[in-house]
Amino acid sequence: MTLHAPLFVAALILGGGAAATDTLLGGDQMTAVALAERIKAGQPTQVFDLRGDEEFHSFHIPSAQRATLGDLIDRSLPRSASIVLYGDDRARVVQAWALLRIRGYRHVAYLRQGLYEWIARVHQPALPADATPGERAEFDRLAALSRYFGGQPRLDVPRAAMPAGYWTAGGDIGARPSVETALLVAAIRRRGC
Amino acid sequence: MTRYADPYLAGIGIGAVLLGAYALAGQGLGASGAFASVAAAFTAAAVGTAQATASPAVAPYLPDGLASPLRDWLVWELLGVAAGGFASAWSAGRLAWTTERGPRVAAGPRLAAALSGGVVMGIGAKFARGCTSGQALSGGALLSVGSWIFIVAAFAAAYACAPLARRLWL
Amino acid sequence: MSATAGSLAATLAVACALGFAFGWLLERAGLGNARVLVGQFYFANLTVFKVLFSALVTAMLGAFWLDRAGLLDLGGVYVPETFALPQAIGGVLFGAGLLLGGLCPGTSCVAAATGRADGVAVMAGLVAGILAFNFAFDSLKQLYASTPLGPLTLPAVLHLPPGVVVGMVTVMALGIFTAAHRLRRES
Repeated sequence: MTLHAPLFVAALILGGGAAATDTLLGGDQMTAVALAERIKAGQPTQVFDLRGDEEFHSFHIPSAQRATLGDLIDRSLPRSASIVLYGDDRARVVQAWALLRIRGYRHVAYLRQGLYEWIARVHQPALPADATPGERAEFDRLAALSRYFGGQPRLDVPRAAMPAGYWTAGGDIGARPSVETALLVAAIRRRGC
Repeated sequence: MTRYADPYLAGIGIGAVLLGAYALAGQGLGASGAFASVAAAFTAAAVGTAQATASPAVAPYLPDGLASPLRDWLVWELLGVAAGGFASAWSAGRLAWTTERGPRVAAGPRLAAALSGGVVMGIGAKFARGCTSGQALSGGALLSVGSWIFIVAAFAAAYACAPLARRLWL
Repeated sequence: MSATAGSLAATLAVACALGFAFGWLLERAGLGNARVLVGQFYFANLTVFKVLFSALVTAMLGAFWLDRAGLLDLGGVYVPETFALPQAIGGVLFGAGLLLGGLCPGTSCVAAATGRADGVAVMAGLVAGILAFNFAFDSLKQLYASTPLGPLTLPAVLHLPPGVVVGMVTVMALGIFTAAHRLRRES
């Protein structure tokens, strides 16, 4: 069957490409929890929020500054600065990352899952109702972190409502569209944070 | 009668359908869950909905009482599977009232084996939370550890049992 | 999700349409026929393996790249939870039953729909097996609920980035397809 060879090659390219992109870009992704720990530990970090003005003022990661791609072209920062980016449009975030790398900054990372990850893992960590002991220990750690930032840990969450991981390395959650993040932010503001 | 299609191309097609399921329904394909739904409805019909929902094994499948299978995603998916299978066989000239069996076994024993095999698979699918469609295929593509455990266990067991069932198939 | 009759009907119609395509392709590949399916385990053919793994790899690669491109929101896709021991036991039982019956739950529907009595028999057996399980649930539930590991994925367990695991699975599947192709040539 003559289609087999090109399909084989396509699979090899796509599979190999998957491994390559995650290996090369993986080191430049940071989890929201890791960022939270950095901020809490007082390690100097420049956090840039790449979303719109309104969204930024609605809710943003503590200590983050708003920036556009244009800002990042011109902004001068210490060469050795640790920079973390996040936004709700992954394409824009990766562009900004590339931009800063090209400008010569060595320590640039981004939150792969954007603000949603911060909300779901740091601001409102959830403990499933039927948690395993490992999950419970992890939750205790995250709850302490969450309270530092004025967050609200959630207990007894039904398993079906847990932020489910998609191929998560270490239990992170998959990206969510900005609509869902906006709804979550609105809910936080209603409860008061 | 048309020849069977290339398995790789059929597989790629199924993979695309599965992607469609992820995109449109937020879940993968499945099959055994539909059977569990139907079994739950039978139970409710036999002993009454109240007693059926008292069982923790049956209750999850009866959110709408006796009518639950009619609102079950997997049940409608399987109805589609049957329809699609029929349509494909019809267009390929492969429809036939018959029993597929090995050359050395009669229809009766073959059907008894099919029934028994179904019983064992039904129990296995309950423990595994799925079957080849739901766990092996859909869960496997999402790299779920339990799904891969299932794949390895199922293939290993099938190969191990093959020599014992030669009379049935060869 | 809204519970109006209209959106439920639409959801179920989508389920039916996806199922139709699934069933069509299974039958096209010959998996609606128990003898073809079982042939895998007697080295007569590798149809089950080829169909299952090319479908798995296609969906896996598609999901990975559509997610990376931001085109598909896969954070909302349900990842099944892992229960290591019961799923291993279930797999063994399932494999044995598959060899005995010749059809799996999905393909049994295809077989039945194309007139095969053995398809109907497997379907009846499945319902009976599930009923038996439910009946005995009290004594089985401890085993059933044992070793819960949550929605655990291979990347998490192997401590590798998801893309690397995707690449590994792809290479493994392609390797087995190649070996199968070579063996066929030589036999």
